[in-house]
Amino acid sequence: MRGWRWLAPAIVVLLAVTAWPVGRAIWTSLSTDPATSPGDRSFVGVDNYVDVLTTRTWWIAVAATLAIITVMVVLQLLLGLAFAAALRRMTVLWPVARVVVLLPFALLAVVSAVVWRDAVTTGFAAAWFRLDDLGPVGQLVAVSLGEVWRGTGITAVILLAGLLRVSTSLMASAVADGATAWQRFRRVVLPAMAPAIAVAVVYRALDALRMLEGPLLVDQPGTDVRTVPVLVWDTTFSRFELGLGAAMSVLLLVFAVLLAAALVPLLRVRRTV
Amino acid sequence: MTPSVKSRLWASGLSFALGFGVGNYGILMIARPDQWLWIIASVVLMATGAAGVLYADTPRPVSFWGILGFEVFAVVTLVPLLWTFTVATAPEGADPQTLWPQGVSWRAFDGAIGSDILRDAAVTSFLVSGLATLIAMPLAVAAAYGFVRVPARGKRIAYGLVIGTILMPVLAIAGPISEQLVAFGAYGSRLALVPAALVVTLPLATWLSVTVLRDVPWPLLDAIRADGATRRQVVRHFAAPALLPGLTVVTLLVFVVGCSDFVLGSALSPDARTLPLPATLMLASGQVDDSSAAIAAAGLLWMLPAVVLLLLFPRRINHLLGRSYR
Amino acid sequence: MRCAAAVLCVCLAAGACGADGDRPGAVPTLTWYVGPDRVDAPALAATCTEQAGGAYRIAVEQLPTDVTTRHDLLVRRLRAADDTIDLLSLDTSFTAEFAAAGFLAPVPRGKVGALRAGIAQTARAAATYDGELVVAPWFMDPQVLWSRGNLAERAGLDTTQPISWDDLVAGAQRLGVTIQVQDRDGSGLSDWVNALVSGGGGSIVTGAGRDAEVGLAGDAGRGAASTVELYEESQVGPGPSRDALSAFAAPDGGFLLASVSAVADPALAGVSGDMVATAYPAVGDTSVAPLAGVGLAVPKHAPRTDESWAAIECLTSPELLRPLMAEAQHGASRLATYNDPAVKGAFPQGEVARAAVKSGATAPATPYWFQVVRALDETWRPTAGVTQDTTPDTSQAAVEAAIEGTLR
Repeated sequence: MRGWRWLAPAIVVLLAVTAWPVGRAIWTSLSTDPATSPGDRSFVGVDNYVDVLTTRTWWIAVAATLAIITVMVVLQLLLGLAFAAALRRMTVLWPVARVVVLLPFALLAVVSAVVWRDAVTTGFAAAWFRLDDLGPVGQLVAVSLGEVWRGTGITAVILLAGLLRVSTSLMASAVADGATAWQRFRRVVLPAMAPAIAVAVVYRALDALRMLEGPLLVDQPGTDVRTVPVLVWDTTFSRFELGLGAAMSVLLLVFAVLLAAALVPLLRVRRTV
Repeated sequence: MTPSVKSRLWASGLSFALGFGVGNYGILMIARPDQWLWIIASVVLMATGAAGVLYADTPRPVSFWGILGFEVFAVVTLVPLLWTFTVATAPEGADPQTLWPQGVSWRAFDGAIGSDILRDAAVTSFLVSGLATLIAMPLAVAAAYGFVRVPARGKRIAYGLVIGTILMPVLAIAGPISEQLVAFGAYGSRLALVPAALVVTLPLATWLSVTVLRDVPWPLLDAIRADGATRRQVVRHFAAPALLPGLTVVTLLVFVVGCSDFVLGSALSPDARTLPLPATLMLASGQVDDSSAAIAAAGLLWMLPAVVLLLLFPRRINHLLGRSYR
Repeated sequence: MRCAAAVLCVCLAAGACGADGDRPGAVPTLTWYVGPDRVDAPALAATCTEQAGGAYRIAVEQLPTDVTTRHDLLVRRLRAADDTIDLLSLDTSFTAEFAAAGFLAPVPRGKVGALRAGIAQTARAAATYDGELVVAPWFMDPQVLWSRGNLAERAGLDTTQPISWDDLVAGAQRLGVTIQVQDRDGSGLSDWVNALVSGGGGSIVTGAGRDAEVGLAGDAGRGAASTVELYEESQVGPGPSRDALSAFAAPDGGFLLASVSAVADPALAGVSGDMVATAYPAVGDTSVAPLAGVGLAVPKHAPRTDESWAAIECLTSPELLRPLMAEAQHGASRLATYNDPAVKGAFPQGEVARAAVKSGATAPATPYWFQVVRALDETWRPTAGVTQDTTPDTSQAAVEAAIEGTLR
């Protein structure tokens, strides 16, 4: 128990700033609570959850969010893997690559969203590829690609670290034994990189779930497709329906937990402590 | 280990084909000045292909797959940054339509530097993130020491909490935190953002500190102690060289990440007086027409501290972020 | 330890800043937050500061132009018991919500009578919540039908009577000119729909609470949707838009549905001498114009309410209403101002404006009006997609969900 003397301060503070708000969210979610009409506040039990879970809007948002997460993670993984593999071979360029690879991550997500939206609505991408009046969904795709761009570098860094763990002697003997490229990838590279890939996927997936700036930026009245975070934001901070917003917040947390619970055993994320 | 001839020829072929495609599309479909960029890209790709064929059957340790991949990497990473610069330097009232800047004007940068609102927002960001980092670091280092060195029951659960908080959608607790602040009567003050910012800084600091502390040669500490070193000697010969550089980088990284928080800042501030910079930019995007140039300029300026950090400690940062999963 | 010290230092610094304005003996400064209207607020503030003779000084701060941003900002600040707003130019469409939320300081008993006297009935209703006057009625900016030159006659329209939507659209089509609909701050669509429904004899929302009745699926809602559909099908304009004024000034601009004060807008400087105002197009027999305006309110946590109300008394006095109409071209809520000779000369659309103020439709007095606005935006935009068969029902459901506080 000696260890808890070291851990306790951080854990207590962490619980205070996370568990307390989560508890408050659960409590608030049990009532209807319009912030500007205190007279209409009342306890409604699980009505808010029933309302959210029986509405088409919510499930469309869940489906859209899942689709965005899947596409973003797959793109980041493929691009990150390709870049990591290239950088692994270009040792000479590391001093430059190490800086360049993380530059996109240093740009604020808001700024990236604004310039990616502009690129497809009025900017160079619209001119290059003859894009004509993309509409909200097209803009949502554009800002999501902007997030892919921001996250690819960090994914490549994680994957490169995994790639560097691939044993060169094992690789040399695989080549000597006449293994095909696929066999080498499957039998030598993948086992050594698996932990890195697992971490990259979990981290990028949950980061994609959090993406808010871009979708919020391109959100327009009358849009059919909204992501779950945008719905939560809209309900809590624009409609000021605190109870409903809290219920959606709790469901967003459940969403994140389910996503992690699905990915962590699937990828056999290794325990580090 | 030298790649096989066949592999090099494949890389050259793909590179050449890609260059050919890019060149044709560029010449047929793209207007100047961007056409030159397409032609340059095409020439570079085709030259890579040609070089690949020339060197295919030599023992030089060059990977043409690596070169091709690096070229694609450079284009993908730098084109959006160039576009950001183009947007930021667009002349007043013009929507830039080409990737290459036409008529560079620095007015958006002047405006961003001279703007009181942005300066206040930057101060808010620095203040909040700085305080939250200063509070988080001692707690995080102590916790990291506990995680790495000292046995404790339930340590894994505690570590799970840290990781879970890093990955958690912070938006889900932004509403309740703002209600709590309203209840305390603290909503709308800069300092009220600090405890909330701990949600971002504390777990990240702990996680990165664990990575740093795992790489520390702890047997050395035991040896120094066994030799009867004084506290000062321990600090001088062990803590300073083994811990300080890593923890400094962790502190700076946590600070930068804290500065780029949007959700909490935006949710917990009523107006421009207490909005941190990312939230201010978001607000500006909705309010001001023709705001893109200002936002892009402010974003590029905001990148500078992070870029400086990246230029000062490139190896350590990559190491830290890359190894953190182990 | 160091952290604690740092926090303390910052607290002290912040405290010092906050106390700066309140030195004893100094003239108290009232901070007046104004919206995106055309009032020359600094000039009015200067006049009242002068008249106060050292009792107070008014400083003007600008609120965001966009209605959603403005609403969200005010709600956030007032919920947080903000004490830095002394005076507030409050949109009439926010009044019920802010009063229900308890954001506003009560009007002093002694001043109610004076503030209500001579005020147009619509403006008085818009300043009242739950039977109590909650803000000081100030001005209304009713929408009218603007046309250029003798265009209305050339289109065969009789301007002495309310023009029907059918005739207006047919006339514009015949001349090949556009009918622009103004949307200054994002509330253009809801104002339009509200006026169309009211003109058809209905009401979007009746009642104040969560169980208020929504009247979009009925005949009035269907009529409103069919008017919008007619407008869209005949392709005479893009619907409510922020660029309506400059589009009206363009060569193919003919008609403009905009507030009376639009004539003072810089975007119309080139054509303003040639602009004629007539009554808003009628759905039935009578013209019901979209009515939006501003009342002056004192937030509940304002520190110097006595001075604030004194300043409101000054701002709503006849002398200061005169420039409001003569220069900013807003319609004062106090009807006597229209008869002021100084106003008559400088406010040629006075008669049309006065009639519109008397008969127009303000936002229904429900605390959920802003939710309704969002629901209308969700279901009536883009206006090209509006049909009288589906839109009334979908928007009825959306507005009901907005008022009940459920997800739609």
